[in-house]
Amino acid sequence: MRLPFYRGDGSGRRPETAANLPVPQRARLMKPEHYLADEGLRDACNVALLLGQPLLLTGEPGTGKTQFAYNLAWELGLAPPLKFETKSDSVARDLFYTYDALKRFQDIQSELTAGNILDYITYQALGIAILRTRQPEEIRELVPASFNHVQPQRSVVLIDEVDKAPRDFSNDLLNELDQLYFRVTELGNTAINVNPKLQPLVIITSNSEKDLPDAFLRRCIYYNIPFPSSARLANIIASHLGANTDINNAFLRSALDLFDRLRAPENGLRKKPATAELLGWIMTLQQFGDTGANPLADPSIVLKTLSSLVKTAEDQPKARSVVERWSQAQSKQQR
Amino acid sequence: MEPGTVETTTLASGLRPELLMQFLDELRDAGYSIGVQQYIAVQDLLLTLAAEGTWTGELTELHRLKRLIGPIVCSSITEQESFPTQFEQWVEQVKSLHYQPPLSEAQQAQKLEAELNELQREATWLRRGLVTAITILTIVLFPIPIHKAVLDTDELPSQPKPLDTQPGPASENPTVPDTVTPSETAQDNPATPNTTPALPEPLPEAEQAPTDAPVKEIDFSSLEAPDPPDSIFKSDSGQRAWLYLAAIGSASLTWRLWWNWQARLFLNRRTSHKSPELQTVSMQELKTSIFPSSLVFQTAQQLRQRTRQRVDTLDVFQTIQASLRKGGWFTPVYGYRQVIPEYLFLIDRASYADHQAKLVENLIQQ
Repeated sequence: MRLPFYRGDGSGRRPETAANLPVPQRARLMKPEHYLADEGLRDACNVALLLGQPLLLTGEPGTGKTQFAYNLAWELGLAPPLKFETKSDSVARDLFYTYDALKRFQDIQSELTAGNILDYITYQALGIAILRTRQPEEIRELVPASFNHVQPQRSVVLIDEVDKAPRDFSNDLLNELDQLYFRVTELGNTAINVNPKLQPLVIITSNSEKDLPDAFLRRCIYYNIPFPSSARLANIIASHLGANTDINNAFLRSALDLFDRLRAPENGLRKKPATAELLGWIMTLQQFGDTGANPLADPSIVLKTLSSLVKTAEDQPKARSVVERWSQAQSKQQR
Repeated sequence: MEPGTVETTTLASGLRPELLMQFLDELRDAGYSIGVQQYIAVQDLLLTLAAEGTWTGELTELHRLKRLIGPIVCSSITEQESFPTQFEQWVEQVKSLHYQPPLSEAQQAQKLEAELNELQREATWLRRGLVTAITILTIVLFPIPIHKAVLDTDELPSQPKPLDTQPGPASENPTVPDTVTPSETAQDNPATPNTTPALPEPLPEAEQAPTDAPVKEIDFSSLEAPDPPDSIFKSDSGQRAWLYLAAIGSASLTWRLWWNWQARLFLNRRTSHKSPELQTVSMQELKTSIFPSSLVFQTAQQLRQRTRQRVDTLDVFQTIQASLRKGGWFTPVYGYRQVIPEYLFLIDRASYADHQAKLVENLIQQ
């Protein structure tokens, strides 16, 4: 099925069978093997691995903070990261385990099960990572029967967008992050310690919406991922999408040129497009354009795909005017 | 530290760990959020790298160190951006003050040879200066033997004595030159060429002063050469002049030598390779906050007082209690939690130089 998939013209036509939509190409963007880390990030990661401290990453949304954890796990030959998605009401205990007291109460009242307390404890990202460093027989009495653990292994833990949580979340994690242990109150306050030889690799990301406590920052290795330069963007695009790596390629040059203009401060976009938006936009352009032709040569295609770059209502008209000016400039150059 | 030697406390050669710790102190003073853990982490990093053999402490590897230390000591975008500049300044400082790369034997020999040549030059100049001073002093203190030695080698030309003046009016005639005999005037012998200046015509008899005394004729060939004039060294004014000049010369030479010695002392101090002995002087209240810390602390504590917030999760204990009181009928009791309130301070700034806004900003930061 070719574009446009959706008409919205009120014609009243409806196919008899469900539309056969193309498989989204987003999976290509998520492949960890195509991730390109910048030099500073590589150094920060190596320092964090050397010192055994968590790595705190900040940067604009879409600069690859979360993807880095997947790439790290892939490159070190480890299982995909154990991800903890921080919420606005997260508490420190949620990072290690959750206890469903209500279900247990209900089961006991209705006399459905014997009520093994371990069945109501669900271990989360960092808790699982710590438990996995121990021998299975050592933790048999601490985990439910459904806990899958064959042999000790190292894991990567991703604590995503930690700044969403209240300040207490970070403050309550200081000791636990330092010494990588946690206690289960429901099991008699048992302390579960990590095996130092298989210490988990902790990656923490933050959008810097809120300041994190100093005590928390001091326990982490910090790196702010800067927005990549044009040359690096070309490499990233080539790495993810297999687009022509030659910077002289007209399509790539035009795309990066327009992208830079949209990000320019003088154009005043409130939410500037980032790397992730750029990759999505280029994928879309590739679908729109005919084979061999530069889709950016047609301004209408650019305007159609602008929504993948610009995400706010107030930025839409500004972006349109930027695209129009850019198209006029391109036309003059070609003459 | 002696030039050309390497202290054994360095990691390998060049950089001492305590210099790096001093750098961390400087960062901390510059406002970086650095705690004890960062100091330990940096030391840990260096030791680990040294143990692995990937770090030799050479100056060329300092830039690599910058990339590795940055993520440890930085905790914000601002710090990450300013860190490279701070590091480069520190590297320049280390290069100029502390870093002593180890010298090879040939380099050491060259350095010692240069020092020896320098000393020899200084000794030569000193010798010359001393010889000059002694010469001048000798001339000043012992002038007569020298002057006599000088006089014996030279012959002074004989100078005619002045004419013997006769008492009487004839000798008072100012128009008659002393060297001309009146008997050899051009008027008496007009045929001979006028080789001697002609005497003026004698005044008429009426104007001539009556003279009764006879005019004595002077025979110049029998005149003896006059005695040479007195030596300048014998004269009081000459002696004083020489003494004055000698004193000035000695004083200037002495001053010059002394100045050179002082300058050498100063330069030697500047180029010392020994670590200076530093003494810490603390000045209280040099850096005080604008607002009294006790008042701000109390205010901050009040602002940070936790507030009770209702949550949508059950309070297990209260729920059990309530359910038991209701005869086992499930009675959920939602819990509360204590949260630290978050504040957003908006400062209305009239202009960039708005001091009131700056004051409020400082208060909030404090």
